[in-house]
Amino acid sequence: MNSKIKMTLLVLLALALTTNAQETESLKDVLGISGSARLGQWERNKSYLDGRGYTVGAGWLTLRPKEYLGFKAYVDGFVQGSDLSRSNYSEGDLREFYIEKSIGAWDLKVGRAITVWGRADKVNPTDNLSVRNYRMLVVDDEDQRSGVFTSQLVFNIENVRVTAIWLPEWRSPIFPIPPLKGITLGDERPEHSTDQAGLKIDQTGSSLDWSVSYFHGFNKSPDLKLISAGPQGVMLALTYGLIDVYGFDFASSIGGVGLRGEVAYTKTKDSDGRDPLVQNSNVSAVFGVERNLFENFNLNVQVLYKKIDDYQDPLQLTDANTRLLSQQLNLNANQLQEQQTGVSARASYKLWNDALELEIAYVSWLKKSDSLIRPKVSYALSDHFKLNVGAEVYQGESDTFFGRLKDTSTAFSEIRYGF
Amino acid sequence: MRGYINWIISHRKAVVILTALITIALLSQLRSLSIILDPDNTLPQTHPYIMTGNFIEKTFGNKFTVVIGISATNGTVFQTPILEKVQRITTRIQNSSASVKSNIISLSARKAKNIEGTEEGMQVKPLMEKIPSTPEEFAALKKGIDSNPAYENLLISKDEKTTQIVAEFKKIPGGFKAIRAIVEDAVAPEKDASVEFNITGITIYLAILEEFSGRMGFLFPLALLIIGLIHYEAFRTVQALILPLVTALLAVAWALGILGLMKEPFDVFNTSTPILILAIAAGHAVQILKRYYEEYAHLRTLDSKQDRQSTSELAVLNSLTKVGPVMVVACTVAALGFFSLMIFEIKSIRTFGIFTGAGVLSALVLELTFIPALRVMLPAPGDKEILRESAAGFWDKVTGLFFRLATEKRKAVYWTVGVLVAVLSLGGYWLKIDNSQKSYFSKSLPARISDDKLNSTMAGTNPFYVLIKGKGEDAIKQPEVLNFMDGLQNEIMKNPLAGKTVSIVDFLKKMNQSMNADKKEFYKVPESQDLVAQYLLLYSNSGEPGDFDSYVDYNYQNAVVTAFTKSDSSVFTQNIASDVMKYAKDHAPAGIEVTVGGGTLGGVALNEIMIHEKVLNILQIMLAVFIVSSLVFRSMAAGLLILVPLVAAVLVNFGVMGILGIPLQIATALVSAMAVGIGADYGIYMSYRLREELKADPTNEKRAIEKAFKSAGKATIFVSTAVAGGFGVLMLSYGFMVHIWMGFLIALAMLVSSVTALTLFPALIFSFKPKFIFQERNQSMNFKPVIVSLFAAALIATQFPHYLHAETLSAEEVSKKSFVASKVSDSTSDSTFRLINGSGQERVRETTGQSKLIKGTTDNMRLVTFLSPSDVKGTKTLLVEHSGKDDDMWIYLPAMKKVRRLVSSNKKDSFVGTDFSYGDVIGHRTEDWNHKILKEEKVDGKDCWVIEALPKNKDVSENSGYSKRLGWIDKESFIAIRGENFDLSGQLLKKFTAKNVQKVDAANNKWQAMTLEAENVQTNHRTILEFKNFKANVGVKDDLFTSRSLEKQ
Repeated sequence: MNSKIKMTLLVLLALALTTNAQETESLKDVLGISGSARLGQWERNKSYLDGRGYTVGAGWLTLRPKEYLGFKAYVDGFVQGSDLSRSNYSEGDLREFYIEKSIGAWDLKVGRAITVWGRADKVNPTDNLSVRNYRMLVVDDEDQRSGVFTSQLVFNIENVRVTAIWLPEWRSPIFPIPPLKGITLGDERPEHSTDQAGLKIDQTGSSLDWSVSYFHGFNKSPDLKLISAGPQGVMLALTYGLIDVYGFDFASSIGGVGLRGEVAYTKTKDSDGRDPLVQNSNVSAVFGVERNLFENFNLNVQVLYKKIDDYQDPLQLTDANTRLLSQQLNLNANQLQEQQTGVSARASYKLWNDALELEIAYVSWLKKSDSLIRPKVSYALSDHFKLNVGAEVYQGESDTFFGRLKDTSTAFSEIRYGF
Repeated sequence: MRGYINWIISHRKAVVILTALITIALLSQLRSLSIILDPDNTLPQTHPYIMTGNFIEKTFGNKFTVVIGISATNGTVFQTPILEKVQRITTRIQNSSASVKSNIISLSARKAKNIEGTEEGMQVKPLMEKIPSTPEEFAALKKGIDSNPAYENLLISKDEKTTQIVAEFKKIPGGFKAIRAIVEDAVAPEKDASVEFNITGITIYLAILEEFSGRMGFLFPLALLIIGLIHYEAFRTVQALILPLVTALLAVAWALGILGLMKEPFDVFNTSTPILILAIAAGHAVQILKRYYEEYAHLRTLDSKQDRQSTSELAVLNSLTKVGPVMVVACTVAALGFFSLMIFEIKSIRTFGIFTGAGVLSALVLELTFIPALRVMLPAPGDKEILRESAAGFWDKVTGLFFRLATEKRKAVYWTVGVLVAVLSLGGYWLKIDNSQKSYFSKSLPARISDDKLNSTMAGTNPFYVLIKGKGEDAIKQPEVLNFMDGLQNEIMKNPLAGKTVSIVDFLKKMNQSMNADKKEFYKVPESQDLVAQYLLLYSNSGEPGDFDSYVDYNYQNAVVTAFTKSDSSVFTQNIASDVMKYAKDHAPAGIEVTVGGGTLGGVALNEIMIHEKVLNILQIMLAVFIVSSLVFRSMAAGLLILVPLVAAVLVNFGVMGILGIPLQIATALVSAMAVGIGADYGIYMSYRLREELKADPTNEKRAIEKAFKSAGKATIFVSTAVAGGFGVLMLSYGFMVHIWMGFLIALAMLVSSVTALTLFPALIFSFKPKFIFQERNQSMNFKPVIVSLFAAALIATQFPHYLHAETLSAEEVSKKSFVASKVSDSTSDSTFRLINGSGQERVRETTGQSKLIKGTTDNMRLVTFLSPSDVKGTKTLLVEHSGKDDDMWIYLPAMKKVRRLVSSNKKDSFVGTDFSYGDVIGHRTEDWNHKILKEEKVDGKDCWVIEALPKNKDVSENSGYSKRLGWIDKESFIAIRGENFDLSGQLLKKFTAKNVQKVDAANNKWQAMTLEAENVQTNHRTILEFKNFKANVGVKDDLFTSRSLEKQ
């Protein structure tokens, strides 16, 4: 096992043991320590390597120190080795570290933070503020998120919150992209990476929750740029174009049925759809219902819709290179047709006083069997130990959004010690 | 399908291990499987007869009674030794901790009083103060009995040869058999030549039912053996014997586990259902194996040099690819049919539907995963084994006969089978729907013989009850009400099969007579209410407080008339109940509500539901079969043709039941559902195989058809023989008609449906040459509907002050005060939830919380923050209650980084995984429940009212998950310091205790229990909630209950 990981896990374990001890109770309280040590096994990873069976070890730590002079702090990070039996490589990230302060009706937050917008279930067109490492092998997909440096100011009037946010840090998302022979792929950071900001008016409370939002920043789904082409091969770069996103969402509960919806209009810099290597402006919408069908069984079903402005079929492009790149871009950005419809469903069932949780999530774009199924079983062996078993199954043809990820379909299991 | 099977084969070990893990997980659910022994609990609880019966049992007792008849072999019972026996038996039963002492009546029981007139007025004394020994003393006893008509035929027969002891018992841990043992122990020392004992009563029948249900312990293995032998006969190989049986046993275990998981109770009528699942699962496994052997033999013929194990793998792949799809269709159809029974109100039928549907689906899953995985792991068959399997034998001759009949002698088939089915169906005219509980048992059983004897000599052993409900206290004391009851009793006695009626009126009439010098003309209802009150007061001077508990309640608001009849036929009881209700409608005084229920009327309730739902049941399953078959074969003709064997089986079944006098009741009703569910398989298999063979051999239809018969036809015979053989063993259950009828009728249904599927069904196909077989043979089958149906099936599975004021407070007022007793204007507290399972394992959740009442209401806003364990640390929930509409709920999960609105939970949903439901935490709205003060008693030294709360309607009970709540309300604090809540089937579900009750707001008299415990007695799981640092009225601000608070770390 990687020595760094070993050390981290040992430190976390020691910390957990000491923090549970009576005499250091106050330290635990003061620092608000919690975290987990995780050991898992994944059938495949998301880097398109040929190998099978990846042993994943990780340590996660969160600090919520006690409020001091009205300031609150929050720190969250991890270290993870994703192939312990074969490699010493490990990665780590300080996902969040920020301070918060409230003065009257105003709340201020400064530091690296994960900000999530959108009320739909899992599929959120207005969620453009945090980034994800989609290659990371984690049981809970929310753990793939990483924070960016944030300055956030919120004004509260009863149930209404007006949020202004500035994100001066750029961190690129990481995607599982299959290696293409003769093509080298790079990552090109935006030139003016401090140019990201957003505004949101949100009401939570009463019988209807809603928000309207605006985001100006960089697209977290990249465009493609041809850097060079020659006998040595083709060099491409992932670029992140400026976008403006106008969003609206709502959630309500009527007669035991939950209703959710989210709509976003994303305006890209290719507003007239002429540039085949830049994503087109589009409207994305999600509407769904949720219901507790019987005791502890929750079902959530959503309809997904996407309309691409000025959609142009890449096949009509005459230049072969441009056509190929445009096809690849559309695939990555899921802009495969002028109008796309899909469904998502998520069912969860809690048993044995919440000790056992069965969950299955499904998303499909209703074309060429383009879908993702993610079943998961979590069993709490005790307050500290939890067992997770599940799978991620991508289906569809290779020219579909989920189908291209088919080779990353995997089963996983994980034992987690929480403290 | 091929890709999928390939995947299974390449992951064979993982599949077998996973199967083992799932089996262990589901077997662990057996601990949640509750078994209902009292058949009354399987009755439709919302039926008026049942509701009345439940009320009567609760208020007046008389649920689990035992009747001991003592007959003198020479002379009358008025002999000193015999009366001494009566006294000793009565004393022994009274001394037993299992008996309800206040509800024992016999000549020597304290409750049996002689009311007689004296010069001073009325004298009340025990009927038999001492055992008479002189002629004068015997004469005095006889006089006492004769002058109190209430005892006539109840304590002593008209011919004076028989007397009886009627005793009521409580439920005890050893079940009804233990009660019977107590009675037998009390009687045993008294047995000699001078007397004959006859013991009967509902408790004795329940004990026999328990005993007979236990027979499944040997009947199930016997069924297993017979099914195994039939398989062995089919294949002549040990592997083929064991593999289907292991699969079948796993399917049974899974189905039981799923039943436990769904918290559906198991009842005595379903004890034989495992045999059905066993037979179906084994039958399907046979279909696969048969096909496997065929493929294996074929592959060996093509290339005998190929490695056997590789050939075996290829055979598994080929066979399952071919037979898998049809298996999915057949099982889906069967499962849908069974699951559709879930809409029934009769618990037994619902349990049967879920259990069998889950069993069929489990079998399907196992057949498409476990069987192929295990098959490729087992050694490949040897040549001898293949030869043995493929050798033509008896079954092939039978199949050949059916083939020739269906193809060459179609007219004869139409005439023979058609006429036979038609003639037998005519017997349905005599079919009677009757739920006589005694008919479950053979007339030759000693208990039935005893019952018959007592029934003929005494008042009758079949009681039913008439409940008289007044509007307020002392309503029953009104002379017009008493006269109405008297008239009602006379009306009942007009029926020749009515043996006796008894009520408080009989005693009041006797008191009136006694107070008027015992003159006969005064044996009537007293003329005024005052007179009634005075008589009762006089009676109480000599009598005992509990003497009339069986006839009238404490407040004289409700009374019961008990009627004893000679027949327990539900048809008869329905008629007499209708007469009662008609009389009540015409004669009941204003403000008096009359209902009937209890006793033999339970069977009537079942009848009514069954008449209403039986046709629906059969049509429903048939409709499911028709729709799915039509969609799968893309042909309505296919749907109709597949129904033919089912219709024939149901018609013949009902016809034979009519001819043989087998009544239609719960057990026999299930047979038609079984027949339809299983019978559909045969037509589907035959249709599918005919298509396949005709497609493979389009030039020679006859040869193709013959091949289909040899394969699918033979398998049909195996399956039906296995089901019939498996169920046939039930006929060995001597004396228990439920088993015997089921064994016989299932065997009959299997015979009819398989013979029809192999004769009438193919004959119709060859006559009409439907497109779906002959012209569309090359079209692929449409399996989408099957997937949709499976989803549908899954959805169906979804588709719940102070004690000084005591006298002035009604049950409603007490409950209202209790509802708000803890509602402080605001509070902060730290809480610890300890979740403890049956084996003592403990999980702990720590929270900190704030609450505040919404101004001008009794609705709370509650913010809860979880502090531990680590995986929920930082999670916050906000709950805003709304009386009369859905509550609003939000949750902040630290991992998701946003506030999410939750669908408002049903009140019955678990509160964050604890044994408290949301309703338990928030409180149940007083307006939704009918409350009644049952009694007053001390708990932990505190005076309490015991309040019974019954839901006002079905919605309330389903939403709360409770059919009844009992609360012990402390008279000082109005906090419920003890509680018992009952699930929708009437079983005790949870027990609650509240300790360390503290006054937290002296100014407003608000209290809070600092320790609360909820125990789910069905799962043995409990939750202890402890409050620390509880502070009331500390000025919690409104803006704490907003998303702003939720989002703050």
